Amino acid sequence: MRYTVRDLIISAIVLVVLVSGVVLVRNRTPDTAPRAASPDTAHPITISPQPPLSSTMTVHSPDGTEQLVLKEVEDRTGTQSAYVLTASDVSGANRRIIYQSVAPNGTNVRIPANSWSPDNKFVFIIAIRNEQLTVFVFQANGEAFADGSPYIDVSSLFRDRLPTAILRDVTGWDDPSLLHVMTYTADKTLGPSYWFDIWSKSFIELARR
Amino acid sequence: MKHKTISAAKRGHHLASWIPGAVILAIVLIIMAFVSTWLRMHRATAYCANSVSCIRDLTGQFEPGKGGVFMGHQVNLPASLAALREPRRVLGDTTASKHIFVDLSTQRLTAYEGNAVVMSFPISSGRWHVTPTGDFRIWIKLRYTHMEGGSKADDTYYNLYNVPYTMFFYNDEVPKSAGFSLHGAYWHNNFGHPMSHGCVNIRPEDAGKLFEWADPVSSGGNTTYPTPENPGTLVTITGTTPDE
Repeated sequence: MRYTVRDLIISAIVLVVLVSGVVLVRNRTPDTAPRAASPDTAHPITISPQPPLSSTMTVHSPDGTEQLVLKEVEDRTGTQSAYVLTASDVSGANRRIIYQSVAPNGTNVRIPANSWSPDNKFVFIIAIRNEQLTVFVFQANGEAFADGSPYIDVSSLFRDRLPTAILRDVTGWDDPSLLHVMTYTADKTLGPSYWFDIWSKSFIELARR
Repeated sequence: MKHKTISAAKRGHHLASWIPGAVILAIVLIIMAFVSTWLRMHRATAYCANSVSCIRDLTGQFEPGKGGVFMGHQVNLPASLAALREPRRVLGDTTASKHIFVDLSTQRLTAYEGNAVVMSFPISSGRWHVTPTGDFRIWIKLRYTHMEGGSKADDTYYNLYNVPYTMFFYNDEVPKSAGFSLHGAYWHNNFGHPMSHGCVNIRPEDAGKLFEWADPVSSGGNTTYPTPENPGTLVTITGTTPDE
């Protein structure tokens, strides 16, 4: 078999067309293989930060007409959280900020189920850090108390007035102005219960039944 | 023969001397049994959870402008409870049997329809007097009632008007006159802990839901009694109230 010049030219053209096609296809196919990051990339790859962790806790007033909401947002460093305590109607209307604060991680801030006073005028929250309780009472309308204080620090008053006792828990309201306070003795056995009167800021020991 | 006659006479005389003693003993025993029974019955029926008002107010009516006194403090009825909504259920809206369980140990009430939990929430049982345990039936539902009792001497006196969503219960051992009930409590908010004089206190919001759900189905009005076709829900109370 003999090849003519014409055959050679056709073969060359076919070869050029094939090679061109292969090159074209390769250039159009997206490269899915991972590439090593290049240190001299003009636009370095940036990693989006994780959205901050947040949680919300809601507790209704005993008659179901109002709600207390505690929103916690952990900051970007992950070392502390911001807390915002608000009260409103259950519909969300008439919202007012009760308290805002920042606490280091490891602090457990919560709204107890019995937070609202039975007349819906006061609320209390509990923060626990290193097994120590902090208890704040607020006016539910968001206003300061008559002496200008934004809250009553029940735990500080407890340590001042009852230095040998340990604050175990504040469970709720025995009446519209009396908080029910439970204690440990210094040796960690169960101690007596007290009323904390928010008007006189005094602790009244309760008789054992 | 004579000997026998004398002996029989002696025995008769001996027996006769015992008769007055036996009769007296029998009479004493009968009296003791009677007194014991009477005391037991009297104790069961005389005690009332609300020692002053007991179950006098069965009208279920709202008394405008009246709040009350609890542990020496004035308490007011929240405005939201001054106008309770009418129950919306109709008879026969469920076929599953209803059952209310109250666990005194955990201070929690759980309501079932068949095996399904319908609602569960904390309650407050007897702090100054025990809450009875056993199986009971609701014998009346009242939208409002008045409760008064306790003692001024030990600061446990209370006089509370417009107690919302009251459902009195009873059984063979705890009569209706004992006045035990499930009811809303607007004067404290320490649920999950004992706070009552024997009744089962419930947050008003929860009490409203339970009142609407429980039988007898109310067709409106302030007072609802059960009927054979519309019986009261079974209430089972178990456990022991914690000593706090």
